[in-house]
Amino acid sequence: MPRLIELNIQLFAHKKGQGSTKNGRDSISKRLGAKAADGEYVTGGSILYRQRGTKIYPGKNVGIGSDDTVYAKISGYVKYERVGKCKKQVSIYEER
Amino acid sequence: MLNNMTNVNIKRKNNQINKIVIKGHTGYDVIGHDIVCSSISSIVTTTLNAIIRLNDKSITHKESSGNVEINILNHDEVIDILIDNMLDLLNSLSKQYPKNIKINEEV
Repeated sequence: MPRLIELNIQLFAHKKGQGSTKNGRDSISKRLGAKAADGEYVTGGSILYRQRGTKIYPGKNVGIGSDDTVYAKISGYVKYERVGKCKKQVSIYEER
Repeated sequence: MLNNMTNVNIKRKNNQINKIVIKGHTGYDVIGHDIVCSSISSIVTTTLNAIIRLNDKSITHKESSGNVEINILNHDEVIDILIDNMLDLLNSLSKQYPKNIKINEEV
């Protein structure tokens, strides 16, 4: 019996898949940003703004942590202020 | 993006087809999903096996992934009909999937 050809119906198909991407990884989001709004009443020790670096500088009655988080030193009303041409700071005032 | 195509190259001698080379992946889809590839493989394998059963001395053939080479050594009416039928079917396929299969007559 002569040697017949085996039917391989994918003889002319691409072997590998569409190619894999080396991307597709990301770190867990750190929920940065404002935690207290302008004019809001907060208690002492409340976190006002989570950030990397000093997008927002600490103003009056506000402290800054080692991870640049700014927090209220006293209870009072939050006030976001502009400092100079391009800087911003956040302060706490006892009265609005 | 799969971007190549299968070329069917037909060589004639004294107005008779003496060599057919089917080369290249269709690029229609990946293995297991490529319907154009499976059509080409089925058409070619059916024809070759029919010819081999009729007269295995009339052709030689080589197959590898994405490549089939057929040399026609002896011609007779039945073998010519089978070859023409295969090429008609491949031609019809190339009209339906012009991006994936192309017929080339080499002069």
